[in-house]
Amino acid sequence: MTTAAAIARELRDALAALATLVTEAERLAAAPDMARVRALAEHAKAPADKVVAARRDLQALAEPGLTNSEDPAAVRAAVACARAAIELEPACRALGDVPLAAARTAAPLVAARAAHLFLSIGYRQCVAALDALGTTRSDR
Amino acid sequence: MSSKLDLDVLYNIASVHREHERFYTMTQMATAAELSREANKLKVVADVWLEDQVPAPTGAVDWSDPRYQAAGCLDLNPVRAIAGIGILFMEGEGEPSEIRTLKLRLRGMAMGMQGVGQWLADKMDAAWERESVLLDPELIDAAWPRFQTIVTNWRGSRKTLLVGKLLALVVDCLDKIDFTPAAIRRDKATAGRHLRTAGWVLDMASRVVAESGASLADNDAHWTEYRAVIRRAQGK
Repeated sequence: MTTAAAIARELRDALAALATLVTEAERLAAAPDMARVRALAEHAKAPADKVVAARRDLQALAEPGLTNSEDPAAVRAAVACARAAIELEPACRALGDVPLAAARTAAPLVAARAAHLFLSIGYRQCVAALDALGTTRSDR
Repeated sequence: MSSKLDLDVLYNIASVHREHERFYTMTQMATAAELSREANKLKVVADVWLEDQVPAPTGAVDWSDPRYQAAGCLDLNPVRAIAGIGILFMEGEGEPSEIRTLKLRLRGMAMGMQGVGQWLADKMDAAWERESVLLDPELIDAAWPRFQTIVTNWRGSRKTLLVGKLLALVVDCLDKIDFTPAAIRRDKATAGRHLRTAGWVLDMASRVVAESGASLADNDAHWTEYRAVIRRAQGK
C-alpha cells in the first residue's frame, strides 16, 4: 500500500504544476485569450489526475485506522490522512471543472476567470492537504 | 443572463445561510471546547491510573456495607481534580454515573454528526452544480466568493462525518473498560491505556471541530461580498 509520505511527494509534484498554472491563469484573467485558456485546461489534466489518485490513496490509508482504537498513533495517522483527503475533495471537483470553464462560455474573460478560480481552489486545497499530512511521521 | 427569479433565490440563499453559518460558527467553537474539556477529564483520570503509585486499599473494610459504599477510591480518583471534572469512583459503587452519561452523550453526538455530515455533503455537491450559473459575464464577480463558501461547507460536512467516526471510536475505547473499581484494579495499566487513548481521540475530534468552526467564520465575508454582487445584478 502507498504510504502517506509517498502520497505527499505526489501532491508536492502536483502543487508545483498547479502553481505555474495559477500564475498563468492570473495573467489570462487580466488579458483573456480563449485559445490560451483551452491550453491551460489541457495542462491542468495531469496534476488533476495526481490529485484524484492522492485522494483515493489517502482514503484507503485512513479507513482502517478510524475503526480500531488499539493504537493511538495509528488513529492519529489515520486522522491526518482523512483530513488531507477531505481537503482534496473540493480540489478534485474544481480541477475537474477547469476544462468546463473554457467549454461552457464563449466569453474569454469569463473562461479565464473561471479557470483561475478553479485552479486557485485546487492549489489552495492541495496546500491544505499537505498541511494536514504534515502531522504524520515521514516514515509511515 | 439570469432571470430575476433566479437572482432573487440566490440572494435569499445567501442571506439566510450567512446568518445560519454565524450560528454554527459559534456552536462549533463551543462543541470543540466541550470535547476538549471531556478529553481532559479522561486524561487526568488516566494519569492517576498510569502514573501515580497510590496503593489500593487493603481488605480491612467491607465496602458493600451501605455505611462505607460512598468512600472514594484513593488510588483511582484524582482527588484534587474531582471538583473540576466531576468524575468520582466510590468503593461501593460501579461505573461512575459521569462516565455513563459521557458515553451516552458521545454515542448520540456520533450518530447525529454522521447523519448531518452526509446530508450536508450531498447538499454541497448540488450547490456546486447549481452555482455554475455564476460563470456568466454578469455574475462572474460573484463566483469567487460563492465557491469559497461551498468549499468551506464541503470540507465542514466531511469533517463533521469524521468527527462522528472519532466519537464512535472514543465510545468503543471506553466500552473496553470495566469501570468498576475492582475490575480496574485487576489491570490498572491496561484500563489506563484505554482511557488515555479515549482522551487523545477525543482531543483529535475537538481539533477537527475547531478547525471547521474557524473556517466557517471566514464565510461571513464571502457571503457578504456575494450578496453585494447579486444586489448589483438585480439592479437594486
